[in-house]
Amino acid sequence: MHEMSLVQELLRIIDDVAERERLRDISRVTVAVGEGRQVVDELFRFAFDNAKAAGAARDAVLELEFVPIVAVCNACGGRFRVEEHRYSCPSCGAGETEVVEGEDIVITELEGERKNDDH
Amino acid sequence: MIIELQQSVMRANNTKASELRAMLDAKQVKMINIIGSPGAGKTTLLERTLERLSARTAVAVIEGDVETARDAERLQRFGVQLVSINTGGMCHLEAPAIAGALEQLNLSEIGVVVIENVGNLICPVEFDLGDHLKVAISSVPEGDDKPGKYPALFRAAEVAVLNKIDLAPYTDFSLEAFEADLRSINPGLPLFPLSARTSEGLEAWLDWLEQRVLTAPLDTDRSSSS
Repeated sequence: MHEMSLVQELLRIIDDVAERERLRDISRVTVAVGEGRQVVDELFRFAFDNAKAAGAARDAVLELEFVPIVAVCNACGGRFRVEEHRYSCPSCGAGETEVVEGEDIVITELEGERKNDDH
Repeated sequence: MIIELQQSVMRANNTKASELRAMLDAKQVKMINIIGSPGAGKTTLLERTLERLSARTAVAVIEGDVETARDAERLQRFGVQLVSINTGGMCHLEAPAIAGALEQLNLSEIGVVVIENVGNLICPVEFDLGDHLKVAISSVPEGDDKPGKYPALFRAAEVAVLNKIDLAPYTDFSLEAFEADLRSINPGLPLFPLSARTSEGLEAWLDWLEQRVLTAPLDTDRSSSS
């Protein structure tokens, strides 16, 4: 259950951004999760909902967008979606391919209200 | 208001891992990260590997053990420097814990650091530790479907070991099926079927490893990108 470790880092980043951007009442957090990252949707949400109370994201709803794994062939340059763990090139059959999408977990959006200057 | 970001949740660990790798490179130390299930034979493979490797270079071992120091006790007879990280129930090691462990070692006297990760096929894969070489170890009794079920491990690994091949006659394990999945997931991944218990196939693994960590140039790009 590495989701808890990921969520702790996620919440730490949200706190940093909230302070930097003077955000309060964060209502939504959107995270793009690469399908190559072995994250279980329910476990990630469960970890988030259980850990969020202490920080800036305490009232936030988590939106997860799963990003398909995309690779580029080093031989023919073809770009293809990796499905059922087939990482070799579907066009030319080459085994030397490089994954270019779907391997990271990225916070893409935070929605909230900006603090007033007199606070 | 909506704030758009592009901030990776993986970055903090990966940055720390990259710092560790650069620090090890500067000291010409290579670090190996062994990942496999509980019971795959990680400690036994490590024992058999240390028998030969520790004769060639000074080896240190970092043991990730959830609750006990039992694995560490098994390795003490090799006289290697040993740091035990008791993760207290956590299912994987992270780069900051490795940084702490490396601080306890006299790196100027060491050629190779071996990390025995917590027995788990998923979580350890998600956290780069600053290692130069990830070894995936699976074993015959676990079944031939492990690469297909845990592709991320076999993607991240630079080499795979299949242990306990002496038990193959007592199971339905198909080496062909195992290899076919590996080829699909990570074409070109070297595979060493062996038995750490009977020593069958062990020589080939030790030859490869020695070549890789004692003579090959550091391959930093691969470890960080995979």
